[in-house]
Amino acid sequence: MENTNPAQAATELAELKDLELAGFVEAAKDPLWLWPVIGLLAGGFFASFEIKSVVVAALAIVGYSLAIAIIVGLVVRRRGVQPRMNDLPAPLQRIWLFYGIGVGVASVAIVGLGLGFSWIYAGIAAFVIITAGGIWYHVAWRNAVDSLAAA
Amino acid sequence: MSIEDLDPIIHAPKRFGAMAVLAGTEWVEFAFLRDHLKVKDADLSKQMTALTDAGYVKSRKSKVGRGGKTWFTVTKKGRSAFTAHVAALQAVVEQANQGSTDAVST
Repeated sequence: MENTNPAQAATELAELKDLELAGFVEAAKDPLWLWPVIGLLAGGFFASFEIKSVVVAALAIVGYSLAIAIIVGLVVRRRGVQPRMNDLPAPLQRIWLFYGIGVGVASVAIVGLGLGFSWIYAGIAAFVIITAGGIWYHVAWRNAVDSLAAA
Repeated sequence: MSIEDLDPIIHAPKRFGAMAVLAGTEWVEFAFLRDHLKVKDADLSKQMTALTDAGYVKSRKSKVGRGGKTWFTVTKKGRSAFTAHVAALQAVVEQANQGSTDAVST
């Protein structure tokens, strides 16, 4: 590439970061109301176990899985990009890890609440935790992406 | 790594831009790439065909919306080529910086 000069190479490298962040920046624009919707679905899913029917439980599992798949599909289609979750930049990786641990702990607590007290309470807890946790995750992600873009 | 290691297929600015966006994503829709790179449909089609023919990118059509949508992803070969290309660009810059430092010190 004899026509490549160092200034041109430096310019391309400078543009690289913004281009590589494009998917993450777009994901940060997803609407916040998604989290209460997912929370409501999860709340309904857990609360349905109160009926103590295998058929209802099976329908709830299938219905919840389908609804989440449809929502994720619609969100990805609307934004036109699916960010790569492997090799995340360090600040995003930390948020993702913290969120994953939070989901694990919350799941155990919600199931414990359902088994020990009532699946209705578990459903309410799921709604609150998923809504609050999701909004936290979303805002933390957006702030981290803004910092990365500005760095 | 040197200037000779720059990949001629990726080196074109629009293809470099497309590869850079694809490198940070799993799948990207045609319109997102077009808007982000600020190019015309026909131009992007040409660039993406070149990348697809080189085996750096693969595409799939989704049957949603009028005429469907085309999504792109970078292949393993494309990711390796892009990583090597970026390393070569960095080498070009570093060699130039080294040269200017040497010139100052002598």
